Amino acid sequence: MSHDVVVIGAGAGGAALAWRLCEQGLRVLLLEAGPQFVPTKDYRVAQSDWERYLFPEPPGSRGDFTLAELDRLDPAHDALHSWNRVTGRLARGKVREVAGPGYWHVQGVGGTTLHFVGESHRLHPESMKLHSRYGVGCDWPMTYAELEPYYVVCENLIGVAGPTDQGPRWRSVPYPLPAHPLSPPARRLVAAGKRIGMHWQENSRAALSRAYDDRPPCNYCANCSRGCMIGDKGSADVTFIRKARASGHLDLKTGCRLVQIHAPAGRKIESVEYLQDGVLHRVETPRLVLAAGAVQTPRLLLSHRSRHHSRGLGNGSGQVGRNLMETLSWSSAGRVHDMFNGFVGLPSDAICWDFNAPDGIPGLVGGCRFNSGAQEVGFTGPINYASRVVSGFGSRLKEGVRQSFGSVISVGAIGEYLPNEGTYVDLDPVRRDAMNVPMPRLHFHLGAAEISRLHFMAKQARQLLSAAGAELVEEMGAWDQLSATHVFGTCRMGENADASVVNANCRSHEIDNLYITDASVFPSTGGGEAPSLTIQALAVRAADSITKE
Amino acid sequence: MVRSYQRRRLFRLVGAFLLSQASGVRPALAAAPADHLLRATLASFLDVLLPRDALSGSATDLQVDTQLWELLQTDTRFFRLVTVGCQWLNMTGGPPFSRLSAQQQITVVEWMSNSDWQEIPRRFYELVRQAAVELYYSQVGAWGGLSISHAPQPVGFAPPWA
Repeated sequence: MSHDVVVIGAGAGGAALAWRLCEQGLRVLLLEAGPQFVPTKDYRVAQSDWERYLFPEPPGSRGDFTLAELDRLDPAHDALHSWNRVTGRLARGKVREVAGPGYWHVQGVGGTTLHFVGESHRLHPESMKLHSRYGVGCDWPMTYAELEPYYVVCENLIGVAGPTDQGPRWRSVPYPLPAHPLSPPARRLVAAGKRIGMHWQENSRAALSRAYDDRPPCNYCANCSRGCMIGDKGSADVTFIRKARASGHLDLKTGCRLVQIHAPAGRKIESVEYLQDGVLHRVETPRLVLAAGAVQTPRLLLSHRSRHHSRGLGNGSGQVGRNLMETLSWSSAGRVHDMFNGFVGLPSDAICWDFNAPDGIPGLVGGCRFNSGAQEVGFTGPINYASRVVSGFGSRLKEGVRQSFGSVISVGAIGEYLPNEGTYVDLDPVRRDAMNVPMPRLHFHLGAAEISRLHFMAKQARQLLSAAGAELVEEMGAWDQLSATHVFGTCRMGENADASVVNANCRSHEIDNLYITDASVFPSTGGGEAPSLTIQALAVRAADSITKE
Repeated sequence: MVRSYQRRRLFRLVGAFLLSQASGVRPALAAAPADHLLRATLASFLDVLLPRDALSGSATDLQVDTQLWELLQTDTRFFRLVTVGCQWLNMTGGPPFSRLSAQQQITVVEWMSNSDWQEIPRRFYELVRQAAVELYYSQVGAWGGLSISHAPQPVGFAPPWA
């Protein structure tokens, strides 16, 4: 079978692009390095020991990467240290620590949308003009108005539930589904927000508030990030991939490692080779789309050096791998003494956009958002209460868990991360994978603006919890914990071929039939918006430009 | 076998600690107690951490000792730490830890819980506690008196919520 387009990666961007192309009659080969997960078999949320397991990690479900040395911790910012009631201070050394894998992601059909909580955000229009309006970062080569129709397409396909009022994120049509009811912890934050002048509202969520498109409504189990067993969460496997398969034009192969990209003549990729079950396959690529994420996509390009591409494929600008932007996050959690069912509901169901615009935080450029975070950060079962909230042992521990269970509320915050020279992806000079390809190496450095933004996020979160009458039990933040869930920017889009990797249609400036549709094309992070919907909108837009060729 | 995230994190912490304590751990291991004494000490320690009460059983009632023993067989570093920790528990100058009175056991564990973070008694206390609460509260039998009664799926927690 010949294909019109070969896509690498079945996450948010690859899946959305594949669906749009298939819908318009093109034949798509979608190569995914990871597995196809089976929710009823692989996810453990129906078992009493569910808290012991995060999203499953079978072989091949995580990409290789290494981490360069992290920042030393400046004691001047010690107010940002992470701690909890049981362990005390989390980072006891002088260097920023790696929390979990450091870079959270999933390789598999659906990609990282499989373990996202499902926030479905549009970017603030002003965030797309950071450089021209505010003199920092980089502009997007398109306007919000140009992207808006594609947001609508994706929201309708996913079944996004959200409130009508979206402030500057104007909408041409309402969300397809009404907003979800607010969980008990979220209601506490909304009420506290009113007391201190913060406006909170229902978050827009890729989770069904009603049955939609042959998928059931959410049953509010509160554990989206451990994998949705019932299929209401709008991960890419049950939305774009399902639709693409139904078209009859999708050829999806899992467990496929891309080995070689052949571009002998320079401006055109002729074929790729991939390995599946130990067998090497070669396929022609009328068009090649890389959608492997902001770490593996630049790795693929950087590792393909040749006579025509001495700095890596499509890297004449030298921008591939640069401009990496991480997740600037903070969370404060506290106990209230008259709530015992904080473990139910939809994670991140309430949001505050007050400080989200690029000029939303006084004295800084680059905004942030706040969200209800109790379920998202794991306060959904007794193990987490015994591990993070109640210290000690014996009858005091057991009684403490009983008295505190369900009483934690949490404020999460994510802020703008401006690109800097110290944050980038390159190829590890030493470590190689099983196929002798250098691993991508991630370099992270928090700039002064990011640390100032973290101070604001922490101060505001603490003020809100105080207004809610909560007693602090845990704080976690990016200052001393590297825990990146959203990474961006390593193949940025732009109009200037000397300063970017792809154009506004996600097409390489240098290679005519190469496209990139993942978060690596983002010129900026936005002020804390979750990126999946924007990745998908850009991918659908790119698909339309391919179809028009 | 699916290895839990919490187990992997636990093993990483144990490894990092033992690396820093290598010179102190190796001599102690030469005099390691027999398995039956080790298991009895560990079981008693676990029941001090998570005792039986009117609403739920103790750690050993819920077979946390057996599960933890199985866990120890999968990681030599954790086994070493527990071995040395149990040796320490039996070095009070009196009878073995398992034969101390309940109040004496609590006094010993209370001391451990407040001891130096960089020393074996404290780290043994912290890491075994972490493993124990994970194994204990992952069982419905431990949930007496809690406001949760079933796993999140398949029925979820439908609104309205009070």
